[in-house]
Amino acid sequence: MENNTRKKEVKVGQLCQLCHCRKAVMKRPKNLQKLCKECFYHVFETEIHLTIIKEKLFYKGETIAIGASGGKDSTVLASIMKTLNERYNYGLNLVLLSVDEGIVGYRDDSLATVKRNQQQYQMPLEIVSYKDLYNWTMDEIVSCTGVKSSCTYCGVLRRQALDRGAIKLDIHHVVTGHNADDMAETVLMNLLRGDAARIESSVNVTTNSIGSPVKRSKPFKYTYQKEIVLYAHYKKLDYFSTECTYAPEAFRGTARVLLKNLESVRPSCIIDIIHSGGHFKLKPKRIRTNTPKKNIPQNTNNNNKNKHNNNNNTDKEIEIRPDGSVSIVKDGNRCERCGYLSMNKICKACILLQGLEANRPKMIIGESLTSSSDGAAKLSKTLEGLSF
Amino acid sequence: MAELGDICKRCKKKVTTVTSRKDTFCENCFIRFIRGKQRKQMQDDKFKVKFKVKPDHTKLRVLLDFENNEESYVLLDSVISMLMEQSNQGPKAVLGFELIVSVINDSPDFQFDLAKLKNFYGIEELQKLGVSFIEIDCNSFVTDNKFEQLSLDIKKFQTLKIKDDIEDTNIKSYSELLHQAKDKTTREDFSIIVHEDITIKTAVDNKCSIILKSDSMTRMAVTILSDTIRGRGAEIPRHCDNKYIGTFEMMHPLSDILNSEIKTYIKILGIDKLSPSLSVENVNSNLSTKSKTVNDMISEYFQTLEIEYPETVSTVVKIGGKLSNNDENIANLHRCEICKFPIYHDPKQWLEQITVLDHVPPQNEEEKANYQRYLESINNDKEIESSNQTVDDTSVNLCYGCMVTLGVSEVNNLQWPQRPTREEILSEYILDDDE
Repeated sequence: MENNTRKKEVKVGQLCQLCHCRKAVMKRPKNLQKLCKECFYHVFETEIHLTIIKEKLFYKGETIAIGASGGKDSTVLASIMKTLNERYNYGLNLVLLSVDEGIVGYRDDSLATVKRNQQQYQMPLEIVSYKDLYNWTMDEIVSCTGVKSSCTYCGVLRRQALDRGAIKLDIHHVVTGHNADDMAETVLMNLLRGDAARIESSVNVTTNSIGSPVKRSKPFKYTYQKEIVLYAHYKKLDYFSTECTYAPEAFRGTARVLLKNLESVRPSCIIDIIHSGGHFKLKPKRIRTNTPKKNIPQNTNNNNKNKHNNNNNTDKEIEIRPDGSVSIVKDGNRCERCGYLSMNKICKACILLQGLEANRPKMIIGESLTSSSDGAAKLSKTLEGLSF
Repeated sequence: MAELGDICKRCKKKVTTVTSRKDTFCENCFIRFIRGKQRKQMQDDKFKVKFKVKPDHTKLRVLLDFENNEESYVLLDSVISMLMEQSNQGPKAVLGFELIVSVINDSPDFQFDLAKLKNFYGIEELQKLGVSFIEIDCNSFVTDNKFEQLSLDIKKFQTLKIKDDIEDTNIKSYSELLHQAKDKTTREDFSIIVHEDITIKTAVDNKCSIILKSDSMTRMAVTILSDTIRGRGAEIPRHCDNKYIGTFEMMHPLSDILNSEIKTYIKILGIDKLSPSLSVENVNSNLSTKSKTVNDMISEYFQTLEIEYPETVSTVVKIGGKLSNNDENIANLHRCEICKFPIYHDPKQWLEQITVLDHVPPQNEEEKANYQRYLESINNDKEIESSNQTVDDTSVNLCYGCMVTLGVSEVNNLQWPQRPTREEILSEYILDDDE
């Protein structure tokens, strides 16, 4: 009887490869080390803490908005920010900030999770909606433009929405749950799209444009998605696990599949890609030399004046891009329409909204395109509920 | 858009049978189009036919790195046609360069028939054009080099050189060298390093100052993604530019040609009869994901994109060409013990920053007992380990790519040839005025 009640002795080979005293329960996706739950929590949390410290992400007394969607990444982010804030005495005021894109059957359910998180973590919550900000919901946008470009619209609008929500709360720093997998995917996408403007900054932890009132940080830069899921699972965190109905965008989807296949033969590829992304450096741009005009007076004073004028002209130089957008070169400019930070005279969101408005039907047949129209998410949810 | 079967708009004589880049071609015009792309990359004066040469004129010697794949056959054919054109420019015409084709037998399924290839072009014709072939046995790379023993401790991100010059190495062949790694991608990595070493040495031995690589645009795109995925992002510029190593120039004459165009070229000219490897269709697609290398997966990925997103290959190559690794301090950087490339950032430091290896100490009696049992079990191993280690063990530098590659393949001990860097090989390559 005594023998039966005694716990079975753990074999040495089954022990955690870090502490060597508890039974390993998982294989760490990052380096395939076999770890016990306690050591996994420890390394997971400490690595995020080290990223925060190394990148000097916060200062004491700072108010931080946590971009919360109710998904696994943002739920773990909220949980870990609370844990680290208390453990290491960061002195941060944490606020949950959610964006309601207006995807019936998806976002409404995930927002319910965020509301529960608000109670669990005792943090204030602010929700900003596309409908209030842009007078469009994602369901309406998709019914107007189709699913293929949905991520383009949603990405641009969400970025602004988060910033606007933060400014509304007088918060100047938003942290998001972008993880190592997202970072690696971005590096690949920037290569596949040939995005020279972003390639050097693909893996930056913090993005902060000059003149932007809101800084963005990604404390999960080195954290594998699988580890986030494991952490949420072991900690029994309350999160919403359904993927957006309109995702994945077709082209990004191909890169995601490639990454998943690669991970099966080379688990380190996520961090390897981030390492590569950190080394991308563009060749210096060729400097265009302006040939002096013949009618420039010889007088030195005048020359200086002209030089000054020339500089002013260069400052004012406007580049018209193939898509019709106009570059005003300097960082820190404002959109003429909405006042949001923009590299162009008109920001991307305003350009997209203008296109949408032009295509908005003036007459509506039935009720399919009313402001409260339900999209594919609602439809698929209804279909899931059907039974014969 | 023009359709197949229309009259070719280039020659206005023949019917179009080939579609490429949303355009149609007749067979002759397509071949001309592809060769034009190669000529454009080799349009420098140094390659051109000469009519007046000084008596002391030394002919440019160009090495073609022939890899027995489709691209190599197309490059060879195109360069030979270029030399033919030059030789047809009159009796006073002196060919712009001498072509030395180096054939490195470094693949397990290497099926190369030199006699068949020579007969295809005509032995006399090749002699007249100054084209010569060198066949290199990869095993000589193993037998000609001394070996060192490296020991990798992936937990500490550290590599030690255990022995500097192993006399009793058990690596006797090229295949044994590669098979120290059980992972296919690692073996592929090793073979790329060895291939490049042999090519440069062959160029030096044969007094060639230019090496022609047969990489097509598609292969360059694959290499760019592959380097990124294997943590070798800093090496991308090496594959995209016509790179100089010392006075040496590495050129990519097919850098503007797609893989599908290479296949069409081969089919039209009947080159596929020259080697069994050219008529074999892509066998990788039948393999399971786990049996594929990183390069296999990326090649397949580009194939799937070709229909819906055909511009991706050129986009990747263009952005790769915009990247630079110009580090002013490059001469002072440490070199990787395995691949011999500069180490731009210390990988050990980077990995230590992002990976915590601390643990939570034992909390109760049971955990303490477990830990005690663990200590006892490793006691013996430690004794063996310490008896193997010598005082002379020195820490060596590995780049991030090589460190991870060995880690993935769980290679703890590696016997690797002691080789000079590319620059050291080239330092021997100093031409006297008399040469």
